[in-house]
Amino acid sequence: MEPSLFGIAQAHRDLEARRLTCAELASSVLSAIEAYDSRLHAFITHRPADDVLMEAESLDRAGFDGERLLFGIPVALKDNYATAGLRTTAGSRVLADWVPDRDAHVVSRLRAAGAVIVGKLNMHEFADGPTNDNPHWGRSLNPWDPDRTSGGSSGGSAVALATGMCLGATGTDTGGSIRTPAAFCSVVGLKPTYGLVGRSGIVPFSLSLDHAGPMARTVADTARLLTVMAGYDPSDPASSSQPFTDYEAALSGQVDRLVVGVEGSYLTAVMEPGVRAAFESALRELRSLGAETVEVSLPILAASLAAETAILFPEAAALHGPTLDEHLLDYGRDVRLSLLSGRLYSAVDYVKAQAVRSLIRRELDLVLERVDVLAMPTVAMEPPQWGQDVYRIGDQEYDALNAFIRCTSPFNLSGHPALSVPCGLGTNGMPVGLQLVGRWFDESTLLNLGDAFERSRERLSPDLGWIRQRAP
Amino acid sequence: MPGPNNGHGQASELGEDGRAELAHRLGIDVAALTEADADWFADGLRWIEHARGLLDAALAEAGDPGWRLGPGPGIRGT
Repeated sequence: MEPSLFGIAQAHRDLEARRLTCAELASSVLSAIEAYDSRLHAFITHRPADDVLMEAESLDRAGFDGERLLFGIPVALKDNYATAGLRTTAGSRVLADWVPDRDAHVVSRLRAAGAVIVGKLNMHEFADGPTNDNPHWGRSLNPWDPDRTSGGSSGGSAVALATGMCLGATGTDTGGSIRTPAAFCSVVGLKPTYGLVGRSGIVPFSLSLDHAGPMARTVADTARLLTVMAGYDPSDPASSSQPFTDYEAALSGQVDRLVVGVEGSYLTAVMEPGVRAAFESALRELRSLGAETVEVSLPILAASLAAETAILFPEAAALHGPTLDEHLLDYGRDVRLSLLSGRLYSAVDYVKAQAVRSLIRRELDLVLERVDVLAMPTVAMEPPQWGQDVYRIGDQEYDALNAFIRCTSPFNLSGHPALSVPCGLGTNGMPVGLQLVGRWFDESTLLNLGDAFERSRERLSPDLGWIRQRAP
Repeated sequence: MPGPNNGHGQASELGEDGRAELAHRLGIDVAALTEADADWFADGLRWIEHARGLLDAALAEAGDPGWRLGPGPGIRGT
């Protein structure tokens, strides 16, 4: 196996035993970028290869330091994370020339842990969309099928991970933007509890719904990234001062007697047949691991998309404000209309939506007193083809909101942690994600269950032969 | 996030006066509002009305809501 496809722990074992150098690991990742990215468009900005190699060689000279959890690990950042001296566009033409003078809080933590930043990843413009159909920087193609969306808005992160263009990545999630592309590209994505990962220096979309989080190829790698990324951020008013947690150490493999709730009125009510088959198979797997599954009901979730939109769009419109007026035609059409639509909601709409949000949080907390985790598909459908307006699920047609984020956005409203892990393939041969949702700040239980589930399954990787066939 | 809908409104349903009023609410010049964009927003307005109904129904179902007493709407990270 190429080092670019190693897990972080495996890379560290080889670095410590001197079977691998940081420079060799970086070279392997740079080779994958060279081979694939001109077709996939996972990156908006590549860090110069010489700079990457020089930093890796410097780490080699210093000698392996296992105390630094990401020592020598090539990591790529969603392009809404500010990076000192490296262009940060948030996927937009509006910020095409912005070179920040300081790092985002999380970027500082990643660098301090020894991560080698390899570049800035493609995304839906300003994180405002679930497809990664970016008119300015190109579509991030799904490596499983380039005719289908990679999901968004952190699509570049998922594509880069699935193809060995980094070992770890960052994402942001306002309605499902970490978990959707993770599901569509068969990688792992975690939206942590609101406040666990600091957001200062990340270009915001909707401040009360935005979450920053890790993405990786395995749950163990996700846990290690979270251990580094989590921590108090004095410049983020929502930041929590939770005590340090080693999330990787929580991966005990012991999941027997965990109670897994399955919500039938909304979260699992609508699914493509292939997604339903994969999800039901996952539930059987969880039971075979010793977990108990029980049915629960949360009818309040019928109002979750109404609350999500009545909060998200006004907050986004307020954030963009004068910039939108001054650069209206520099925004892509879908994002321009989406942001303007925030001006159509009233203050009363916003306040009522926040009230419903409080109810959703309360109802979820009550259910999570009876069960340890909720399980559902991450997305109710397999990755759709590019350019669709209407999405068919079973014999019904749905708009983009209902199709993409019906299962993910409730937890942006409530702040509960939510993990997407690969869950096999659907009837179109495309990846399906299993979403696990837990109690506030109980990422350890989620990651432990996700890790046990992942280890019970064969790891799936895309066949990249189509890139070589289409190459000029 | 996409817009509140997918732009399946009836063609030109707003008319000239409707487009002018919509542009005013959006804070943009009516010349910047294409017919297709206006129809997209017409769908959006329908979604907003639908969403208002869902929010009111959820609040009514909750009965006497504790949220009125505070600590206030939304969630906190700490």
